[in-house]
Amino acid sequence: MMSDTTSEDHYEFSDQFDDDFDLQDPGNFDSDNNYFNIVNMEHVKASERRTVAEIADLFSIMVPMSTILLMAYFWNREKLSEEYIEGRALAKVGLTDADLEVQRKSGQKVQCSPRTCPICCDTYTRGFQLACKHTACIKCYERYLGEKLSSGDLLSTRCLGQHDCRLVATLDDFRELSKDLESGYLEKTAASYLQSHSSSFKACPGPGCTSIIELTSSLAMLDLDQYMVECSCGKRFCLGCKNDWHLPIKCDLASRWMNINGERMKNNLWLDKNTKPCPKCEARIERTEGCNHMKCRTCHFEYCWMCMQEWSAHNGMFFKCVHFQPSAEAKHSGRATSARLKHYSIRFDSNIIDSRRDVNVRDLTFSSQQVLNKAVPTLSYTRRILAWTYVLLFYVTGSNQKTILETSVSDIESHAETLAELLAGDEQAAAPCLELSGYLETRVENLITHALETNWKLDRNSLTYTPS
Amino acid sequence: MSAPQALPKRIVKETQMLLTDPVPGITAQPHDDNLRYFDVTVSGPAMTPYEGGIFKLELFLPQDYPMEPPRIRFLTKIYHPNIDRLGRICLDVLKDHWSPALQIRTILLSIQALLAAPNPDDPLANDVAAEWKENQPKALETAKEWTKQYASP
Repeated sequence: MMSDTTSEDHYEFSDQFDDDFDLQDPGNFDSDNNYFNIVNMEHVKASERRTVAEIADLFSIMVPMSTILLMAYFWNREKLSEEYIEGRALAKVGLTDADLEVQRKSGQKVQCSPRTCPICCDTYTRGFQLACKHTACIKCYERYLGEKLSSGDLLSTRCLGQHDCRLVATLDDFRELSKDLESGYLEKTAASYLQSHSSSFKACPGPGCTSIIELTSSLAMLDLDQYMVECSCGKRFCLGCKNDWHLPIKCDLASRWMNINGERMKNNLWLDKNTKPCPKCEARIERTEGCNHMKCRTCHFEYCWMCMQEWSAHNGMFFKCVHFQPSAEAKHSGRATSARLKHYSIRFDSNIIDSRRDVNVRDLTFSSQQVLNKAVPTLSYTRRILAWTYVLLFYVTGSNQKTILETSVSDIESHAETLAELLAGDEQAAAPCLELSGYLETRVENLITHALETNWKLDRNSLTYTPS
Repeated sequence: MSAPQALPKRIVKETQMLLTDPVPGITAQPHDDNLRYFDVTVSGPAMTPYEGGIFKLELFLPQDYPMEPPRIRFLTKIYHPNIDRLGRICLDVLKDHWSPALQIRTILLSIQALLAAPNPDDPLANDVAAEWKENQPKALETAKEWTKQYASP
């Protein structure tokens, strides 16, 4: 799906290309590949079901209970198996072996003579009970489980009929209650599965797209920084950070750059001010109130809100939160860095804008299809590589390597300029255009290799710089 | 502002129970102008450094109660590893172990039980917890002193 709404935002690169417009990415982008498959949520769910069934089989437990235990262990089969054998896994979800036996049956709707609901204190005749047979009115159950679903907390869906009953409502109980609750439950468990397998599944960030990129094991082992994918919806993104692609630099620098220079700053402002990422799974967490003992609802990691370290580290001798560091985003020698930032961001912006404008050249008069299909994409691609190379130049300190990179950039830039003029000109010089784009391709490929393979020394002032 | 909503039956019932059949050692009185806001007192359990003290707390039932837990805070200063200097309480049933099947009554009993059994392994007041772990006799002495100084009836 292509979106026009973002076309004004010149950092949203991928939306500016048409479907039939092929990137001339040297080697890192390849749609006929062995690295990934484009799959849908059903595929993920099938994979989830296999995992759940395996664990259910292994311990002779019911499938819904297997799901709950796996979620409690953030789908870490090995850890769950280990602790299950040691008899510690059930306690993690507040259950005992006896409860497990009772939970083999699912709950049921019941029709009864009028009685008072322990939750809302209204009189009811239609109730619901888990396998423990403690009853509450059906409305309260529906509301309670509905709210648990929307908060994503499926591990503490306790019996409503009796306050000291430990039984947990499972998929079976959700199913007994309603179709909506059941499908909501399935969506949540699939989402949990997807999130815990983020090294092999990447949900496409394309607007409205539900596809998922499944990485084959060979790619999951590699440094994803350098791999760009194109989803079936047309969205092209970096496998490492899921942002638009940013060769020849790595995700961390690209994201720093986006933060100080891009639109993302505006979008992220609220998140940055109000939330912190979970130190383990990076889910964004907002603490509204309560103590520093945090438990991530997504991966169940327990940590301290002050120092973001594992909570258990606060036991023993570490009661004082000695890890606490007030967020010291030191604002180093602001003025010089600010000037440098301006210098590089002007170059970044203008290349991005040009890369978009160059694509439109083909609406003009050029007649040779071959030229259009090769030179135009190459030029556009070159501009984007140049843009991100300027970002790299902003962050690295002076060295021979930097000088070499600067020389390449200026050479590539002047040739790209020549190509742009030829394309826009009246002369229809097909041969020189093709020749120039061939030259640019080679130069750009070398530049990417150089940029990626050099062990750059980063400039501390630039790294910590935040515009005031 | 919209007109105040009728108090849910559940809250009315719990309030009645608290007033007519109070738990020994615990009182809970709703404010006249806000029936979701309670003045609470809990007496320190016997055989603990809190014995003899009457501790004041405030309790508020949020709009979504009982789907959401009540909000509770100590108003009286107390030296306890799971209660910080603002009176906030680190107790699982007030957080992710809350269930709508629990009540004001059961929660207050849990708080009383927390006074009897501090858990320095899950501290809210880090410095208190540290002392509790390193020098328990001294910690108990301090807790006793604070009870005398701040929680005497």
